[in-house]
Parts: sequence; structure tokens; C-alpha cells
Amino acid sequence: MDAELAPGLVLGVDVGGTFTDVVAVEAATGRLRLALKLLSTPGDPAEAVLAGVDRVRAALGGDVEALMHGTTVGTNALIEKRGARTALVATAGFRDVIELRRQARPLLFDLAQRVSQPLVPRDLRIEVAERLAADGSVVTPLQDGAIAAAAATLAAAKVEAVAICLLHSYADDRHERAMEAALRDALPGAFVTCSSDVCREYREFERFSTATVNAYIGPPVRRYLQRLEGALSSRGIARFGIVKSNGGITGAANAARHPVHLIESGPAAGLIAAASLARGEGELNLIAFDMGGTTAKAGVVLDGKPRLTPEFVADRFVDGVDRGGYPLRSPALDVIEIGAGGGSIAAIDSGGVLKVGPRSAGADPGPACYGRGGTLPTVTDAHLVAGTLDPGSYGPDALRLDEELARRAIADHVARPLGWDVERAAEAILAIATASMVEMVRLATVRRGLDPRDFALLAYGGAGPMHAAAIAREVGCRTMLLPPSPGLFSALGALLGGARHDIVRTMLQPADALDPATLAATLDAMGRELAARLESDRELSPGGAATHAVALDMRFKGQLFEIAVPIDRGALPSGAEAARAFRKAYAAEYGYDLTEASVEIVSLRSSASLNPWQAALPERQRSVPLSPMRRSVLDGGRRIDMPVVARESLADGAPLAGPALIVEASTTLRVLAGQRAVMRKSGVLAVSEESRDA
Amino acid sequence: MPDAPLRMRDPVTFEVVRSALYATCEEMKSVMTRAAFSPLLSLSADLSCALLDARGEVVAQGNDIPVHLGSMPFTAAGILRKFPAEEWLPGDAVLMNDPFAGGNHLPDMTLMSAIFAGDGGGPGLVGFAASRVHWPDVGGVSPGSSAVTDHVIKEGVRVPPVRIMRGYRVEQGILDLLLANVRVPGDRMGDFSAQVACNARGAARVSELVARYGAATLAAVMRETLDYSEALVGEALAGLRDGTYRASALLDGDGYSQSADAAGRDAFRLAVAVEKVGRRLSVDFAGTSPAVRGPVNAPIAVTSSACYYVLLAVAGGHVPPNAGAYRPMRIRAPEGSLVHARYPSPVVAANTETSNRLADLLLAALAPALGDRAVAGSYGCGAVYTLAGIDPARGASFVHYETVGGGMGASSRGPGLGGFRVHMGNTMNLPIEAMEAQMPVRFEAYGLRPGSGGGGRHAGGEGVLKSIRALADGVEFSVTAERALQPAPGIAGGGAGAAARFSVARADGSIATLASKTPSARLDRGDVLVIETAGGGGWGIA
Repeated sequence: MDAELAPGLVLGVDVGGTFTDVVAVEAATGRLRLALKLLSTPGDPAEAVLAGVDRVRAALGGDVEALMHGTTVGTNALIEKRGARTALVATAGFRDVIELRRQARPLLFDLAQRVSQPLVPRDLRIEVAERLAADGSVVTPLQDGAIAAAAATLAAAKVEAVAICLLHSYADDRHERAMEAALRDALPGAFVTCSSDVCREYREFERFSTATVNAYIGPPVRRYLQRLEGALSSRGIARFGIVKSNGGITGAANAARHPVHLIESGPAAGLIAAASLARGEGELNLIAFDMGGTTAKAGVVLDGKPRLTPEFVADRFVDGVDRGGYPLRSPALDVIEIGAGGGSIAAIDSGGVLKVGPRSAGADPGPACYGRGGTLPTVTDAHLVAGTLDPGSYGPDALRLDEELARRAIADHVARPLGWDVERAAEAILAIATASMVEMVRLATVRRGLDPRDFALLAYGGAGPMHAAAIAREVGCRTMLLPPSPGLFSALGALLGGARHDIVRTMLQPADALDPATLAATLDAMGRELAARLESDRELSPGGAATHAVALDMRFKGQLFEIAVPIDRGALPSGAEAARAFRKAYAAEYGYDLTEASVEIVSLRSSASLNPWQAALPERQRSVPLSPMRRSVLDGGRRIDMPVVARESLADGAPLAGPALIVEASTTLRVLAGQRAVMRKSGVLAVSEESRDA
Repeated sequence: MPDAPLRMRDPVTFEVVRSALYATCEEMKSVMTRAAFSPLLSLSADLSCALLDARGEVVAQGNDIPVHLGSMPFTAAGILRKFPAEEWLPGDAVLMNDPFAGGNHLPDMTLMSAIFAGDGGGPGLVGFAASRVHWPDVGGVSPGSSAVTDHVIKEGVRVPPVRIMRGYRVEQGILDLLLANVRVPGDRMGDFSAQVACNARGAARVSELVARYGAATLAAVMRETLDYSEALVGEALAGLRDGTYRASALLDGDGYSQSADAAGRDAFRLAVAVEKVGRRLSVDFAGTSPAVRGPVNAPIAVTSSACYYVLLAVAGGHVPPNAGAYRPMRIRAPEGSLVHARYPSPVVAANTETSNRLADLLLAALAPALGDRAVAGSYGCGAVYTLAGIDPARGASFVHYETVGGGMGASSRGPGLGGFRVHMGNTMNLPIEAMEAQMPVRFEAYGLRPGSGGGGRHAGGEGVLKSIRALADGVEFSVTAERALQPAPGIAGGGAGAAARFSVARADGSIATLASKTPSARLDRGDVLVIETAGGGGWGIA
């Protein structure tokens, strides 16, 4: 094809543990041109990305205008403890804050429990004489001599990264900045992070933890981004964006400075795609449900937007056991994760009750039916026995599944101890796995004051669709949706987030004392910083003006949890107006107002974003409707001869009544008796109860 | 199999409803932490939530503080003795904190609300939702209500079970009377409202379960959830060696005298004999000293919760906590002793101090039965300190209550954790940056005490150093801790942890050493309070 005439392309990339997905869309129209699934290259994840780029160019020709990327490089460095040799500079007397954590142990009754280790060992945590008060005033100045001594110590220790963690730096960053400048000179090439730069909020443990993770994963993330950026630019691709935990896109420079903002990059991309689908389908309230091999995740899209959380904990569960993890004070799309996946192991506990997960057979040895030496029964084995999974072709590497091995594992470990037959045991395993995901979906909503009955459930990921219709029925979701090509969802999501930055400033004061001039001035200062960060990301956007959002975090005086109340940047509220808006939001959340209590402002948060690229969902594949196959599937204690329908053979708008299975390359959707599935014009499959409208 | 238990006949329904009950407790907690006023609740999470069946048996509890968990059955029983289950009507709720009627100590205020499936009384009762919350002040002689005194009446306002809500309406007179006797009544009003909202959420969720599965199924799940936990604990006990195991230890003191004094030598003895036979465990505290003058006396609810905690820990930590889990255990404690206080003994410090020493004691006794799962002694307390006074810069009074972590004991499985809360408590610390914004103090150090863990092949966990400078005159403070005189013992040849130390470095350069229970004392501008909690014991010969 003539490159002159070929339309410009934008690529979306999702690097997962097993597969790297690449989608190519036309920049001007958003039309999907090509989707690739490549084996990931964990040693150097860039290899698979670049191979994908080259294959797209070879197949389509044309300019690649930009590449947008969800990455787990930082997350993996943290989880596998392959980060940099990192030091920490602390206010004298406070080097142990990251080790003391919040003093609460993760497990109440485990006398020999382990807790996530500090990322900086004690001998690399050094103290400097300096001190600020809570209002930012200097109590003990930071002397040049102290700075020089610290720099010399760290230079001798040959550290690759440093987190500067000084008390009250959220109120005034001058001491952290002075230390940073000296360390940049003394440690050329080292990755230096100020806690006030990654998080401008009070609460020392959470801020220091955020800064320490940033420093620890900084060098490997920076190396990866530089390598990829260089390789892309040598291919003529100058625009390179990374998905952040907050769902926005940022450029390699910003990403390399704040790698801690990328920790939830992968899940965020999926949620962005879910939000886009929510708007496209007019299903503005959506629970996005993703189930993989070891875990299941649920995120919430509210009014067409993914819900953000101001703080989350990274690397909390190790083999399903709570180790405390590393709190990160950085806005992230709000995702709940539990240890329930296709590989979750079913077992009878010592009380004689059947449990599923959180232990997982993982990818190796994997479920018994993989025939790779696993003998413990998993959810995948139960699906195979139940007939929901076709043993013929499983996954993109077309693994053949061995039903006999699955039966034996379930018989040995579940059926025989309970005195049941294998089929009854298989159904029980599936029901219990579904029940734990039902609780997860409930928690993702009710804990946040939302009612799941106001939501549709969107399933993606390989294993999710086999359970999704049952979950939707149990929690009372109106509709269950399955996007076209659910396996490409996260790669598409990488294209759909606009550049976005969030900044928070602690502003502790009574609402009455809010001075509009100070508010305006603070917002201006934050606006300048946002503009500077966005400026370097401007080329990542197809164009258009930045949009801003501002909110005040408020609470009743004496409380320690806040509610974010959006305010209008064009018409800044008086203190009394802000307080009224808070009371209204509080009553909506908790059902009562406290008229006696006064309202306090804790912080001001501001975000700015640029328009995303367009990317349409893949167009439906169509084939001549074949007469459906039938398969014998367990359903409520008996086998039913169920129709098995190829997804691409479904006609628009024609309902298919359950029970039925709808199959496609990467997954199987199970529709229950009493439900019906309808293929929408958009290519989205919608499942609803017969008594309701799809 | 119509007579087989539901969990055998229909394990799926059993597991679904059972996990919904536990998830409801967590949801109740999240309602309360986010709506509460006290930093103890919203930041430290000093609270717990439970669901009870129609007979008042605790069926499900959150992942909460052990001293709260284990005492909840006593509190429920105390409330139901006064208000029998058949007398409750929809919208009724009872409040109580009385340590001599099933409570643990006065600051822990429990609200228990009826749950009805539909309208009408009597047979419609399906259970109760309960929440226990540490109020930062319940009156008494000093702010924070945790002072050393010689009488429970001086510890604060005592609330026997009172019906605070009838038909969803608060009995305003009772609430007014209560709030008139606490400091900062406005904040406590907010905490009470949060407690009401929390219980209402629990009741709503349980009602949904009734609507979905029917009252009979819910009742069966509740009954069998108790049986299930009982079976898990029994199974774990069956694996331990039978025998009778003994241990004894001395408390540091009670704020009036100390175990190191000639007079106090035999006044602070904790003694226990634990008999393990098959699937049962009997605990007898015969030989324990009579109740003492200061507030380290444990009500039976607190003593029992320490026993229950050890039971759950020994069972492996995966048993859903509820009244059924506690059935395999018998507890005998001489009335009027340090471990079974009667009116009018002061009790406030037993919750954080004596309870943890009891947990250490029981684990030391059981060490031979536990074999390679035995653990060394811990820092053995909550290490509570309080600060109160007037902030001249802000022109407002302040009250501050916080616990401090310390060393855990080592075991064959690894070193002890340093700087964490152990055993009966698990409240979080408060951010220094938040406290300095609210009080005239400056923290000068907060770190681990290097080398304070007991030596051995696995070292004990390190204790914590926290030092606090007063920036104003007349800051009242108190310290209530343990193991300044009785360090944490090692095990299997491991060394003892370093003892705790408490002192005030005065602005004039003098240093005053403090006892581990120091009743109200005063800091002036420039004085520094230094708290050093104990290290845990080590395991094995180095």
C-alpha cells in the first residue's frame, strides 16, 4: 500500500503476564484496523511491543502517529523485589517511619506472620538534622554541612535511587528541594524523589511510602521507558504515551519522574475501555468485572466515568495472604481484587466445608486438566466437567484439556470426602467461586455507598463470562454486557484515556475561614503546575483544549475521613457555600446531617486533562448462521443438552433464550435459564432476565 | 438426608449466606470508620461489629480487635439478662459499657440493635446487630478516661444496659444525661450517630437475607456457623499433646505499687493451669492474686477474650470468630481476683495491659503442647499514653489518647516483628503530622530501639522509641504500659527482650524515671516525655 495514501495509525498496547496485545486504529476515524496477540517477553517487555509495532507496519503500512501503552514494568519490579538499591533521607529521629508503618499487623491471629519488608534497609536510611512545624515554618534549619555529609554518605554507599522523606514537607518543600539539588550533583544518574513531589498531603507514613516506592521502581521503569522511546523514535514514532493509575495518559518524561503513578496502569486501561463502552451503550453505571487465572477484579464506572480512589495499597497479598503491602497516596481508578480465578483451588477444610481459593494453581502446574502435573482441582477443572468449557481449544495456544484428569482431581479431593458424585462436586465448586465474586461485586459497590441494582455488569478477561450472568442475577444487576473481542479490551483502553494529571494540596482550615482570594491564588498556582505537566503531554493528544476539574475534600471538624465535593472553577464558592455543599453530600452518603458540627476543609484537589484518541469497538465479525451445536452441560444437578452458538452467527436484535452457551475465540458466555441474550447493533452482547427488557 | 446439617445438604447456600454475614460486619465497620468523629475510630479503627442470632449468640464478627471480639458474647449476655429477647420490638436498641454486666471497660460503648424480618414483635426477631466503639472520653477524673484511680466510679460514667432507642427513636433524655457527663459531648454525639447508622446497615443487610432465603434458612446458617467454628477449633485442639500445663508471671504494678517493691511482690501474680484433653481446653486461674487497688483488674469478659484469642491463634488463625469457636474452652477465674474483678475495682487498664500479659502467659503455658509453633513473650501491652491541656496558640482544649507498638516474640518460624501491636489490640498509630497540627507538642523521635529484641537464633521484635516535647505549659499526661520490670521471656534458649523504659527529660536538664503506670503528671514547655516499649523474647540458642 502506498504510504502516502495510507491513513495514519495510532497503536494501543497492553502488556500482560502471558500475552502482549496490540491494536491499531486509524487516527482520524478510530476504526480498528488490526489486532495482534503476541507472547510476552518478561525479560525485556519492550521486545514484544516492538515486534508488534513492526508487524503492524508490515501489514498495514502507513504512519504510526502515536503509541499508547499500559505497562506493568513498575508493578512487577515491586512485586518481584527487583527495584533499585534505594536509600532514604529522613528528618532526624524518623528514619524508621516506613518500617513502623501504622503499627497494625495485617493478620490478627497469626503468631508467626510476615509483613511487607521496607524497600530500604535500615543501614541505607540516613537522618539529617532539620525540622519544620505543621504550618511549614522552620524549627531547625537544614544546614549546608548536613546536606553535604548526607550526600557524601550516599555517594559512598553507591545507591541508585534516593527517597527524601522529611516531616511536614507537604506544607513547605524547601528542605526537600535543597537536599534534592545537592543529591543530584553528588549522585549523577541516581533517581532522586522528594516526598512532597509525589504527594503533597499530610500523613507521613503514606507519603513516605509513596516516595519510597517511586524511588525503588524509578530506575527500572526509567530504563524501560528510555529503551522503548528510543526504539520507537528510531522507527519514526515520536508520540509515546503511558497509561497512569488514574486512567489518564502521560508522556515518557512525566512517567519516568513519577513511576509510582503507573502502578495500576494495566487494570486502569481496562476500566477506561469500560467507561468508554458505558457511554457508547448508554449504560452509564457499570461494574467492570475481569477474571483471570489467579484473581478477579471489579471496578465501578459511575455516570460514564471510572471511579477514583485517593489511595490504594500495592503488593498487599502474597500467595493470597495479607502482608500489609505498600500504601500509595496517588489517585487511582478504584478496583477491588480477590483471589478467585480459573486456577483457584477447591479443597475441604478441617471443618468439613468446601472452600475455593485463595490458593491458586497458577500457570504452573496450572489446573489438573492442563496435564502439566497439577493434581489439585481448580475452577477451570470444574468448568470442564460441567461442560461449560470445550476441551478442544483452550486459550490462544490451543491447549487441549484433559477431562479425565479434571474428574480425577475433583473426585479425589472434593467428591469422595463429601460422599458425592463428581458432577455434583463440580457444580458446587462453580457455585462457591461465583459466590465469592458476588461478594466482591457487592463490596465494590455497597462499601462505596452504591446499590449494585442500579448497575449493569460488564465482563471481560478469559474466565469472567462463564460466571458473569450468574453474578449479575445474584447481585441484581439489570443487564450483563459482553464487549466484542473481550480479550482486546485493555489494549483498546490504552488509547481511550486522555492525558490527565491530578494535584492535591493540604489546606487544613474551618470552612468558614475559607478566603476566596487565597483559594483562587492556590488554584492558580496548581493550575500552573498542571499546565506545565500537561504541556509536555500535549503531543499525546489529538488536539483540543484542556478541561479542568476542582474539588474540595471536606469533613465535619473532628472527623478524619473526608468527602470530595466538586466545585465550579468559574464560580468559586464562599466558605458557607462550600459547607452547604458538603452537608448535602454527607447526608446523601450517610443518611444524616450533623447540624451542631462545623465543617472543615482538608485539601484542594485539581485535575486537568486533554481529549483522548478515538477508538471504536471492533466491528462485528459475521458469518453465515450455522445450526447450533449442542453440548451436555450440568445445570442444577442434571445434565441439559444445551445449544452452543458461535457469537459471530448471532443476528442483530434476535434474542437467544437461555440456557445456552455463546462461544468465541477467547471465551465462553453462559446464559442461564430464564435469561436471554441479545446482540446489539454495536456488537455488544447483552444478557437480561426474561421478565425485563434488554 | 433431611436431618443432615444444611452445610452438608446444601453447602453452597450455607457458604453464600455465611460469607454474606461476615461481609456485612465489614460493611458495618466501613460505615462507622468513615462517619465517626474520634480519631480512635476513624484512624485507629478502635471498634468492632457483630451479628447475633435471635438468642443473642455472636454468629459473625468483623476482622476486629481481639479484646473486643472475645468480650462481645459477655456483653450480649449482659444486655439480654436485663432485656430478654422476647421483649424487643422493631427499632429497639440498647447501650451499655458496664464492666460488671458483661462490658470490658467504660470507654468501650456497645450499641445492640434488634433485627426484625418484617413488622411486628416476638417471633419476627431474627437477630441483633451490635457495634462496640472506644469513646475517647467517658468522663471520670481525667481527660481520656484512662487514668490510674482506685475506684471504677472515678473512671467515668457507667452505663448499665439501657434502652436508648425505642421504635427507631432515640430516648433523648438518656442520651442527654450521658452526654452531660463526658468531655466534648458534640463529638460523642457524632460517634453515637455513626454507631446507629452502622447498626442500621447491618439490620438492613440481614433483612435482605431473610427476604431472599427465608428466616428458617437464615436461622439454620446461623446455628451451623457456630457449629462449624466449633468443629474447626476442636479439630485443631485434637492435634495438640494432651496434658496440664502451668505458667505464672508478675504484672509490673498498678500505679500505686510495683511488683519490685517488698509490699508488692506477691500482689501482682498471674497464675494459670491449662488442661488439654482431646478436643477441649480448660483454663484455671487459681493462684492468681486478689484484685489490686489500681486499674489493672480484668473483668471476666477481658480475661475470657484473652483466652479466646489464644484459642483462635492456636487453631491456626483461619477460624471464623464467633461464639461457637469458644465452646471447646472452659474458663475458671476466682471471683474478686485480678482476673475476675468485681465492683468497685477499677478496670480500665486491663483492656490494653493485663489482657496482653494474659495472652503471653497462656502461650507460655501452652509452649510444650505447641512444640515448634510456640512463641516467645511479647512487649505485653498496648502502651497507652494520654496528653491533655489547653493549646494557647489555638485557644482550645485538647485530649489525646494513643497506643504504641512494641516487639513480638520470635518462634522457630522466624524473628518477631518489631514495632507492631500484638495479641489483644491492633489499633493504628496516629500520624505525627496530624497530631502536631492539633496539639502544642513536637515529636522528637519515633523509631525502633535497635537491639532491643531478645537474642537467639531468631531475635525477638524490637521495641519502639517515641519522644514528645511539650510546647506549652501544663500539658497533663499519663502512661499505662507493662514490662518495665518484667521483660518478655525468650523461649527454647532465646534471650529476654529489653525492658520498657519511661522518663521525662525536664527543660532544666534533670531526668525523672517513670513507672510503667504513671498516673496523671505534668509537662511544661520544653519537657520531653520519652516512651520506650519493650522488645520481644528471642527463640533458640544463637
